[in-house]
Amino acid sequence: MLVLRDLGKRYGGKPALRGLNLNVEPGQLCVILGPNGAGKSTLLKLICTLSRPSNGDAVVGGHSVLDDPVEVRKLVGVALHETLLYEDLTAAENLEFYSRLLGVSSEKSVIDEMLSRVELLHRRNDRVGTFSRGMKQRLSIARAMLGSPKVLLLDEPFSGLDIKARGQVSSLLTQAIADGATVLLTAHDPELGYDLGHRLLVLVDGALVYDKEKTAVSRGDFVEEYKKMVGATK
Amino acid sequence: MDWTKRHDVALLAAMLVTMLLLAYMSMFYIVLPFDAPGWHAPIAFRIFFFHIPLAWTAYLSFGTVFVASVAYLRTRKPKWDIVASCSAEVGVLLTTLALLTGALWSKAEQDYYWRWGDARLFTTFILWMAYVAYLALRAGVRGDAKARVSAVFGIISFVFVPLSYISSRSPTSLHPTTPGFFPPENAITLLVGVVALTLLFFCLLRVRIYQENLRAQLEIIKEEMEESI
Amino acid sequence: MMREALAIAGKDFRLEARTRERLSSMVIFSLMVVLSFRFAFGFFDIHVDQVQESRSIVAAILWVTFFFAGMLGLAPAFAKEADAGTMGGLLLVPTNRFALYLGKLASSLVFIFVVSLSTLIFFAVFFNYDYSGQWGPLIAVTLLGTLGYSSIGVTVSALSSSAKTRDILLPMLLITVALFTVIVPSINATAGLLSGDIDAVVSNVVYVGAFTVIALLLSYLLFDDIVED
Repeated sequence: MLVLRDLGKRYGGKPALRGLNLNVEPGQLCVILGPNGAGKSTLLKLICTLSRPSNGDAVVGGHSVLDDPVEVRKLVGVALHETLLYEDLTAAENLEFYSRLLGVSSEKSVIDEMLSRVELLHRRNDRVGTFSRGMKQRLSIARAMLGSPKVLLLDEPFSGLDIKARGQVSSLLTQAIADGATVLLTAHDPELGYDLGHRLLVLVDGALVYDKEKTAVSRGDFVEEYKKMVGATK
Repeated sequence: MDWTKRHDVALLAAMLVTMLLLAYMSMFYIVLPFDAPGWHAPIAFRIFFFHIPLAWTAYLSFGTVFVASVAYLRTRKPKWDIVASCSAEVGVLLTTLALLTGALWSKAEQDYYWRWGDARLFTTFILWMAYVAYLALRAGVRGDAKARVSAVFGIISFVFVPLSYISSRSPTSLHPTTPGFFPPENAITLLVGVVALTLLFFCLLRVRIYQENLRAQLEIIKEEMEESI
Repeated sequence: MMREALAIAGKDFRLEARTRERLSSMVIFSLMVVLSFRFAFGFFDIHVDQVQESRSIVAAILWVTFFFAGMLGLAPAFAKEADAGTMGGLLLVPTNRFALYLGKLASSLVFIFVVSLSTLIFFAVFFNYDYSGQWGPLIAVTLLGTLGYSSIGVTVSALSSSAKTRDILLPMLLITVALFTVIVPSINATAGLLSGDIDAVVSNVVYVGAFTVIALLLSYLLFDDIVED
C-alpha cells in the first residue's frame, strides 16, 4: 500500500529525514515513535504531498508523490498538528466544506453520522472557536476520515485527549482498519504505541532505526529498547 | 571573480580593454553632430554611446533573471537561483545608470529630465520597479520558499513589464528615434559600446555569483562545525 | 476542479457573512479615498465642475480607488489561511491545485466588484456626478477590469503571503505587475466611455481582455510552484 524509497527531506541544508525505506502492507496499523524533532511530522507531510521530497520517493497505492500527487491525495486522509479547522465556522460547516472539497457526500445525515462517531453531534452548530483542545482534535480526526480514505495519516492523534476520548479514537481506528484502511500514526508514548499498533517504527534524527512487528517483541522489551534508543541521542 | 580561473581573468581583461576603448572613442573618435539640423547640444551626444548600451544591458539582465528563474523551477538547482538573484542586483544598478544617463542627455538636448508620456521611458521605469520589487520579495521571504517564490515573480514580471509598454503607448512618442545622423564612426563606436557594457554586465555578474558561492560554502562549513560539536 | 473551486469560494463567502471583516473595511476604505479626493479638490480651489468635466480625472480617481481598496481584498486571500493554519486543508484538495486559485479568484472578484460598485455610488454622491445613463456599460467595464486585476492579484497575493513584509510587499508587487498593465487601460476605457470615445473603449477593453487571458494562463502554469511547501 505504501512504499518509501530512499525518502529524504532537507530544510535549507539541514536534513530532516534521511534515506527512509519502508514497505507497508494494506490493513496495517503502523505506529511511528520517536523524540521531538525526529522527523515524524515531516514524514507524514511528505506522504500526503503537503511537502515535496528532497530526494527519493514515496509511493501510495501505486501512485508516486512526485509524479502523481493528485492521485495520492485522493487516497489519503490527514490529521496534523494544525487542526485545519475554521474557527469561525461550526463543526458541521467545517465538515460540509471539507466534504465538498474532497468530493464526498456532504449530506446532513452523512455529516451527522461522522460527528456522532467522534461524539460531537451535540455541538454540531457551535463554532469551532468555542471548542476545547480535545474536541478540536476529535473533529480534526473526523475530518481526516471523511470519505473513508484508504490511507489514514495521523500526527499525534492522542495528545490532549482524556482516557475516554482515547478509547473512542482507538475504536475508530480499529473500525477503519476493519474497513480496509491502512493507518500510520505518530506518538510519543511507547506503551500506547505498542498497545495500538501492528507494527512499530522508531524514528531518531530523521533515520528509521527500528522496524518490527508487534508479535516479534514483548511489551516490556520494546519499552526498554525504546528508552535506550531515545536516550542515546543528545 | 576567481583570480585563479583563467576565464575569469580573461573576462575582466576583455571588459577593461573594451571599456577603455569605448571611453577613448567617445572622446576622440566619434563625429559630433555640430552641423546637423535639430541638434541642440552636440557635445552631450557622447552620453548616447553609454546610454544605449546601458539600456541594452538593463534588458539583458532582466532576460537573464527570467531564464534563470525558469531553469530553477524546472531543475530546482540552487545555482540557478543564485544566477537569478545576482542578475537582478546587477540589473538594478545598470537600469539606474541607464535612466540617469538618459535623463542627463535629455536635459542637455531637449531641456527636460523626464517626461511620463513616453512609453519606452515609462517601461524602463517599470522595469526598474520590477527589479526593486523582486529584491524586496527576496528580502521578505525566508528559507526554502525564497528561491521558489522569487523565481515565480521573475517569470511573472518578465511577462508583464513588456505588456506595460504596449498599454502605455501613445500616438506621439517623446523618445528620440534614430538620430538621423549616423556616420560609420558612430556606428562602430556604438557597437563597441554594446560589447563593452555586455562584458561589464558579465563581469559584475561573475563577481556577485562568486561571492554568493563563497557564502554558500561558508554556510555549509558552519553547519558541519555545529554538527560535530 | 470547478466544484472544488466553488466549494472554496462558498466557504469564503460563508466566513465573510459570519465575521464581516473584509468587506466592511474595504467599503469604508473606498469611502475614505473618495472623500479624500473630494477634500483635496475642494481645498485647492479646483471646482467640482472642473473635475466633472475632465473625464480622465474621474476615471483616474475611480480606478485608483478600486486598485487600493481591491488590495485590501486581495491581501487576506491567502494570508488569512496561512495565519489560521488552514492552508494545509486547501492544499490537500484531490485535484489540480489550480482549483485553489479559481476558488480564491471567485471570492476575491466578488468582494472587489462589490466595493467597486459602492465606490461608483460614493463618487456620484460626493462629486455630484451624473454618469449620464451609462451605468450598464460602466459596470461592464468595471467588472472586466476587476477580473483582470483579480486574476493577477490572487497569484501575487499567494506569492507574498509567506513573507513577513507582506503588507508593503503586496502593493509593490501589484504596482509593478498590475497598475500599468490592467489599471491604466481600464482608466482609459472608462474615460472613453464617459466621453463617448468608442474607439478608446474598444481598444482598451481588448488590452484588458488580453491581459486577463495571459494572467490566467500564467497562473495556471505557475500556481503549483507557488503554493507547494
